[in-house]
Amino acid sequence: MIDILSDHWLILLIGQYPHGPLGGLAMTVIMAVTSLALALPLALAIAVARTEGTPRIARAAQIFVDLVRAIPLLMFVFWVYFAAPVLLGRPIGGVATMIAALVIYESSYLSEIVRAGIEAIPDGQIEAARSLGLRRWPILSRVVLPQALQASAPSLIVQLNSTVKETSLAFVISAPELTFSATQINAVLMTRPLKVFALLAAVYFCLCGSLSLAAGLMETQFRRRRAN
Amino acid sequence: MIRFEQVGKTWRDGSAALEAVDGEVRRGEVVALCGPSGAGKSTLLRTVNRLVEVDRGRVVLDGTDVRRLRLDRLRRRVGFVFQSIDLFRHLSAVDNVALILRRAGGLSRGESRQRAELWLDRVGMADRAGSLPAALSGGQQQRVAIARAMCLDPEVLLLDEPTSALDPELVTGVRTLLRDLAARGTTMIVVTHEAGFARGVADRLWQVTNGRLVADRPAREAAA
Repeated sequence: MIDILSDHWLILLIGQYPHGPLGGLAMTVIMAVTSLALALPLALAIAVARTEGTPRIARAAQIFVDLVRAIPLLMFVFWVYFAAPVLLGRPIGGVATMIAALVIYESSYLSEIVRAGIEAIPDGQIEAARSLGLRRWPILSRVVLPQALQASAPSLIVQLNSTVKETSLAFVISAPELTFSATQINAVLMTRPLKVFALLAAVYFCLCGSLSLAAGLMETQFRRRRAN
Repeated sequence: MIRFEQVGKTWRDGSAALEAVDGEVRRGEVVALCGPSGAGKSTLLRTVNRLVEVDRGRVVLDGTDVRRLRLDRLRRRVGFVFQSIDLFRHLSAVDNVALILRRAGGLSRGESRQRAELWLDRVGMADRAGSLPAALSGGQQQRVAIARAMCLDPEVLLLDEPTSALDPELVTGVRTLLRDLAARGTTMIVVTHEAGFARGVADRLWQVTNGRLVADRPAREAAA
């Protein structure tokens, strides 16, 4: 495994770049972070619609969340891959396809995390804000959401961890991410698939393991702050 | 200043919280609401800034029914301090005060910060301005909460059991602060269980029992 790593580490790290598109671990991280960064505002809007919206808006948001959570991510990947070119009138790349699918998918899961954070805020915080003359929007943006996001931070990191693993599905649409790089290495070596994919698993383990560790530390710190 | 006219409130389960309460708090006066738990003291207090809406009668602030005032404007005129303190947990002491000055008072960022620091100084918390609520003692948190409620210079300050969550040694500091505010002419209504605290701070004591105002007497007489 070490010999494979020492010979092919650059492909695992950045794919064909600079002689081809950026790929490998770098693209995996870029796809995961970009998807979450784009999904988070959407998730906030959905969570606010569910907790603060009129019954009709809350219901619509809930239907969206339930629908997305009932469909596998791979279906979204295929749907975006085949439908987006028809709707947009031009083809879109594998990376953009994967990011779009992840944004739709993750916004639903993230919205549930944020909603739990909003609902965990004691009523007294909102009552205090109301009694001090704050209006609805400042209460939401300055009191409710900052606290909800702070409380949700460990779960958001766990979700980033899951998104990193989900980017491996981009392999089916030939987006140049980490799993795609591993299959390229396997195609070159041909006789050592177990070692190549064990190495791939080790890279995912290191990346996701560090994210889990970060989430754990953040949670401990958060609990300590609350207890003080 | 504040007049309760036949104020009544019934909860959804049919139980009466307030029954035909009549009373008047004059400008600059401090009234303590006393009575057993569940008597309706906090409910009566909350009708002033419409955290509780009355079903019958009306609450009048400076000649105007509070229901006719825009809610955010009413609440800028009437500060409120809760028993549970409820400082915003993610903000430092100075930011707790500055948020209200900026978002409810419409001041600029710099101005709101400056005035927040001034108010923290007035309540003796200038040296802890940057601390999060979790790092402050109960008494310190209550001082910040009072600064936050007073920062928009409200005409009236309502306090719901401001000392009940505090250790006895911290009560004196809050009592001194309220006396100080009263001496400056702030109209206050204080809900309290503690007779000593009520006598030490208030001009008049209102006895509330079963949702009714059953006695209104000068605090001095009660002390005698």
